[in-house]
Amino acid sequence: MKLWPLAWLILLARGVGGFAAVSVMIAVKGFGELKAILKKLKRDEDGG
Amino acid sequence: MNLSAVDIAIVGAYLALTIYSGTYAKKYIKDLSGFLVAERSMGLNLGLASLISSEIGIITYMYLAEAGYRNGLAALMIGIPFFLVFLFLGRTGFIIKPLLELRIMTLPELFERKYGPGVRFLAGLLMAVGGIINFGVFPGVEAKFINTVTGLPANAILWTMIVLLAVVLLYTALGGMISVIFTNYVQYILLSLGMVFLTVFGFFKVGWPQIVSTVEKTFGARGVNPFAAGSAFGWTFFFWQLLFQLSVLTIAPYITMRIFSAKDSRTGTRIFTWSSVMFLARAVIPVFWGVLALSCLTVKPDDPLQALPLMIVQLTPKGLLGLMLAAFLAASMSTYASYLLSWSSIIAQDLVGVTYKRLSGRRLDDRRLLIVNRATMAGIIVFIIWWSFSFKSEELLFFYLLLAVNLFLAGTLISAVFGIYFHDARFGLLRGRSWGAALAFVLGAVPTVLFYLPSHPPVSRRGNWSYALALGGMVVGSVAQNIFKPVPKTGDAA
Repeated sequence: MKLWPLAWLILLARGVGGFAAVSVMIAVKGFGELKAILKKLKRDEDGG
Repeated sequence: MNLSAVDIAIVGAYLALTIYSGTYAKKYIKDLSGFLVAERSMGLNLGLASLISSEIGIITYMYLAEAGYRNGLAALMIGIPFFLVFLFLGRTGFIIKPLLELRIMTLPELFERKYGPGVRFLAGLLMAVGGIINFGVFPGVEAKFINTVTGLPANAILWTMIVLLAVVLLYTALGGMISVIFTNYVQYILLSLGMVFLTVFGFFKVGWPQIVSTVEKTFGARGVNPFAAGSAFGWTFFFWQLLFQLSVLTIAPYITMRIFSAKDSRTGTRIFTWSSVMFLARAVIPVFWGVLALSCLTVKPDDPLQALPLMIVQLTPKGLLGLMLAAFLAASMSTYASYLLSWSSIIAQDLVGVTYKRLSGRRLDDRRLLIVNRATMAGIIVFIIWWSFSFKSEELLFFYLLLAVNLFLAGTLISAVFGIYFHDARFGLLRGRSWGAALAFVLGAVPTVLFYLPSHPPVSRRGNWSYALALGGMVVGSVAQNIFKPVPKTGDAA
């Protein structure tokens, strides 16, 4: 494959792969963070 | 109508889920203090979801896909400066860290503190004009997308715009802003699924060799090599984009507000480092879609902006089209909410607020500020509907959007750098002063104004000139003020 198309293919793979991986991380860990915030808000409401 | 009953059900379910997640979160976030607790607890993952959700909308997909459709693979170059600048900011904390240490939430506040209220007003004015002219094309372009994907008649664009903006207002009123973290999380999941699906599905359906050969046949060498003759994405573009993205990512209110609301400064800078990957994808995925459209559309549309929605209709199986549309709508909701809030608060606080204080000697109270804010929001909505109709340009939409915000970016970056790093007596005549900042803003805006003249130099060259002129203005103005009106030994440097 010629140089430029190969370079763009690598960039594209890097972009999509990185995006998919970080998205999975956000989906899993972000859910945990959301639950923690809700817990904190509930506790504040009960306490206050 | 291109949508099946299943597609319509998916879009309806998405809208219901968004409104439900907003109202559910609102149960716990009843007032400002609850909102602040949620905001300050925002960790890396929610911070990233929030930043990406508000920075991706249908408009982002449309202008980037148009760039790919009209320029080929070389337009993928757009993603590289984003990646490098995010990485640089995450590693160094350039501008961001000093702002965090000064406890400043917006750049105009920094300008008032360092250069006085006049410069704050000028910065606010240019930001408001540039920001709203940029925002002004969003509803028209997005309505075009929605009508093509759904199969609604092309002449119903006004109605689509009105419904779109009404849904945005409903979303904002039903807790969109107060529970933005929660809704952004749901939106992020949906939009990332849609983006990855369309890219992988399209890539394997069309095939890489077919994509490359179509690009080479259509554009020749400039379709794959950004440095070939006739390409708009060579070194001049690359250099301008480094400066441009550095300015946007350090000063755009809708970005900095999210970084500053992270739970600590380490999380703030980590959000930047991780965003380098996300923003690379934010650029390269839609550009690739444009290239994909070039390869798979048998009938080429007259309007290149139509290429992306037509390709989505052609490639996406029925049933998944609803998911794609929901994902794209998800992307737009938080962008609108975020932009509306940002630009209306700049007008309320930095223009009306500063003028009121100047004339009456008193601060505008919170109640009046809120009224001005809401009136401004209504005014912006009317304006962007009108602007969407009157806007016409031969340039890529991508370049138009960049140039609109370029009106204030160069002056803002140069003034921020001099205000933070060159603002004490050690720098002698080069110490940043208010005459310099005012000149930097005025001269930095000139190349954008030239956009409206019939014959003008290429966009990237004008972009670079903005920064050169702003720097020249800052140096000349500051040196002149330091000579003719030196800072008293214990006085204010403005």
